[in-house]
Amino acid sequence: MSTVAGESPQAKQSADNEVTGRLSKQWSARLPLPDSHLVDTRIYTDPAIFEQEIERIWHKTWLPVCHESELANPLDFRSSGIAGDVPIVIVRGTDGKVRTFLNVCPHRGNLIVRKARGNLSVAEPSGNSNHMTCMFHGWQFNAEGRCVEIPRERAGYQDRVCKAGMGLRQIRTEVAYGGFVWVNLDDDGESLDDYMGGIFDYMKVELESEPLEVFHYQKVVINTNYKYFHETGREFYHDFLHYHNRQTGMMQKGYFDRKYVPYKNGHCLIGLTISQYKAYQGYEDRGLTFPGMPKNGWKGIGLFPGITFNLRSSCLRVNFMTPISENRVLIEVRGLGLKRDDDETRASRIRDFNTIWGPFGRNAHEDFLAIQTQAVAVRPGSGAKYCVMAREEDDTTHDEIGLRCYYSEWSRRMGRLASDPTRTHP
Amino acid sequence: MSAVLAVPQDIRNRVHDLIYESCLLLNEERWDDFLDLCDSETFRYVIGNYSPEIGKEQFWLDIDFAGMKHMFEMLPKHNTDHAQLTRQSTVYRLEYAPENEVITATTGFTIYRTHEDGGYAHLDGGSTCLYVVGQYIDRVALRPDGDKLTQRTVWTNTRQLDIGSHYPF
Ligand code: FES
Ligand SMILES: [Fe+2]
Repeated sequence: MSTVAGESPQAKQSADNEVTGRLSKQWSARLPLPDSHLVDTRIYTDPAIFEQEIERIWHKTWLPVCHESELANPLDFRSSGIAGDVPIVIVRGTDGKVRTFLNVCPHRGNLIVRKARGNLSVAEPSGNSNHMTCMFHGWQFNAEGRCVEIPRERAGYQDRVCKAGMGLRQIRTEVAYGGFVWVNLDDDGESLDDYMGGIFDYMKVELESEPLEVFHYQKVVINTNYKYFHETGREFYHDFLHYHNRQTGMMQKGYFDRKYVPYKNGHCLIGLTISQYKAYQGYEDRGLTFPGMPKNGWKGIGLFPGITFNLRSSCLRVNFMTPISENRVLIEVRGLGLKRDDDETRASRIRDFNTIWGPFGRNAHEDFLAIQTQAVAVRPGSGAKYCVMAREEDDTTHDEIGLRCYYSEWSRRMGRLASDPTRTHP
Repeated sequence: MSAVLAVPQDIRNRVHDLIYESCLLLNEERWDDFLDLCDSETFRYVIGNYSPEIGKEQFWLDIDFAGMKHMFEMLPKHNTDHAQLTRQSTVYRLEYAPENEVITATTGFTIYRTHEDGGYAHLDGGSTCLYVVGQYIDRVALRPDGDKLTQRTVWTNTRQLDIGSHYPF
């Protein structure tokens, strides 16, 4: 660094220290935007807010927990969990009906079913076939949730505790919208159809024409807030993150015309677009589709509080989440095709799925990477103040209306503003 | 294993060398050199596992030589965590079909991941964790002008890869 003759080095240094960024006061000041257009970062990091989300949102809304093809036969079961770590077991009864129970033994609280999936007719070391048996003291429950066996019942309990009063906690369950199993921990809330408000009409042909089947299942646990992941399904401004999307989508005519349509209850649909796969070497040939879908079509549904249905070309990807804490989430990624697929068709769908959404696919790692580093930057105390959701482009592709409709519902259900969680939602 | 004893020592050595070399080249990210070990006409690379959740075998990657080459070419174009993958492998079993000049080799492997910038580089960069446990089931064609991998099936016990990566196993 050269110094002008006569000017001291210190004077030069202070000239170089001219503030070009923002000092703390300006950095922390709220941007001149309405409440709907920004989010306070504390809603991603505050454990008390997370607890409240579980109670006011996740335990009150309809959530998918698996697909009917995962328990196709009578007495098939599937264990899973609901947000905030509520263990559940889903069982198909001998009557064919799918029921869900809290997977907690009413005796002394052990897990009753431990396997991810199975059939109750298969004998276990501790158990009779056809029942769910708690291995600890041998209490048994049938597929309808009734307690059917308490070892040495009368000897120990006389008439004070009896099977009739020891059934499992049953959870509201529906099988709908493409054969997914939906549950709601709230015994008194609105029906599944009312909660959806007709949004699935948009994918009715694709999801309801014939039975679907899961071919891909991946669990991803990331140290991040669950909302960050859901946001990646609600805005396409981040197509800049994905090389693949820049090549196959953004370059083409009509890319910016895609429409978001906000629905009631914070749901949002993402309009049909046609991708230019020929622009991505190796993936040119995509004749296979879903019933009702045009070739190379792509459409999506984002459901509050964190579910996405993404139909792209020949495969359906459905993501659910189990938030574990304010900074940890389990994401379940499923890929589905048609149940009647022959081997060749199925292999083709799997190949299409893998190129984009598989663990080695083009987009999956980039999304997971982005939400993991986002959580690094927005740690409590890091200095991050706001996330800006202010893009307005006539509700089209890079408009952030999908995010705003989410946080409007979030604020309503939480009774506090996402833009300032210390303020009450009006 | 009788199959192992039936494989002549010189062939055993050749196959071991090929498989260990393939791991080293992948560790060193020398993709073209790795492809030189693969048969360009017939090579197939598959990654699969069994999911007890859906009660099925599933395949997360199934590509041929051109697909593999394309995958390597794409790596610098994608955003990535730049984690370094270190494969540790032991060739356990060789099965020999002398009439076809083909060996099937079963190799146990683990992959460690050394984090760079996929999280907080300041905190996590340079730390290493166990990433994947599984087996390579390789088919090796024995040829006078150089033995070649004709198929590698990567069968993993590990099904959770956290943020994963674009890099093959
Ligand atoms: S805790 Fe289940 S039988 Fe005792
Ligand atoms: Fe994405």
